[in-house]
Amino acid sequence: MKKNRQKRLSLGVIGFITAFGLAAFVADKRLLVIWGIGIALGFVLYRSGICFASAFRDVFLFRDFSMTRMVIILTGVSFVGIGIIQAIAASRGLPVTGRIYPVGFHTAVGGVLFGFGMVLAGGCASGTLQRIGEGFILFLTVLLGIAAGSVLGVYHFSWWVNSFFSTDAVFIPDFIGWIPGLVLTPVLLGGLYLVTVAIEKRKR
Amino acid sequence: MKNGRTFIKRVVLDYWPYWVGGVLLGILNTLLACFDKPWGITGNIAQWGLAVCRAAGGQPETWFYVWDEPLKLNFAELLFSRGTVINLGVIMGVMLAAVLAAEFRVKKVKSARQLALGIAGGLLMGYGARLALGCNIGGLVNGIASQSLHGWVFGLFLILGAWAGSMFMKYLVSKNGN
Repeated sequence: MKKNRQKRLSLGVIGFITAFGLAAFVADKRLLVIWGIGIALGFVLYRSGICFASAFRDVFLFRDFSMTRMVIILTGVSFVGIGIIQAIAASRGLPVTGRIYPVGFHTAVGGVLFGFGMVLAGGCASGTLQRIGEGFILFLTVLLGIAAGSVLGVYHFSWWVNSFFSTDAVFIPDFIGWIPGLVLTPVLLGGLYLVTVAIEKRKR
Repeated sequence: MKNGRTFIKRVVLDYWPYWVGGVLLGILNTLLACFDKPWGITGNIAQWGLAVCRAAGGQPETWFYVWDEPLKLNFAELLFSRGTVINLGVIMGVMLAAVLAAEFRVKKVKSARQLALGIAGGLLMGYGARLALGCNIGGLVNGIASQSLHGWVFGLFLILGAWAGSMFMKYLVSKNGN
């Protein structure tokens, strides 16, 4: 009985994935690839039980750094991949891609609020999508909360930027050079990784 | 044949180590970066909020903001935008993994306190992510991976916020139990 229900659910999910994929393909061919990558991201998130909120919370509640190390590994792999794309773009004289945005007091306030909020809700943005996919009704309301908070954040953004310190995007290699930049990030990430290992060792 | 079976079983039914997840997410993130930009989540959720706001008579298109992808306030356009396709894809990918392993269950809200914490947490995350121009993924991971200073600054203050949140949760539990 129960097995049949899960089988029917599987067919429904696969049917929806196919139908939306087709519609996305009709809208724009590239969206089909993006759809495939999105589904793969979700699959990996679930199967490896990843939760970004716990990468920060569990450090303080349980002195557990295992998820923190996952975030460092993810950042390191992404650094290599994005770095190659940036280097190719720069060598062709194209603008450097990635997520390079203004930084200022608003970044700090945003970080504190986001960090506090994700511990209260028990999941960050990716965690919210993930738990919706697992069937948690609660996280539909968290998603509504994120959307409503975002509207207010966009509305207030200019006030924060104009009232306090803010500067244009700072792309680190523009200030210290490409080679030092390519050394600095891995050294910092590697150092953080070793610190988490050392703290856990001392605990035992 | 038998080996193939066990491999599929391991992929679909077993939990993968964190580091495998981290490496795979990093590769997928790089693939996304080949299509314009690396992974980000909350910018798109914000655009859905603004689309609702405009449908209700507001004029969010006049608000100054640094958008990571073109602002779309029409529901049909927004549905087939890059951000929505990724976010919906993540939800469906999780659901696919859960139903294939026969682990999908609808889970009801446990208590009024959980609901209140969820809504408050969501509001704070939405507001914070827009001020900082990104969440854990678009801001922290991809900010640092793109060698942008804002990623490091966001991460530093995120730790502070998470610490305060953890202390607050500890206090709540000590006062009211679980």
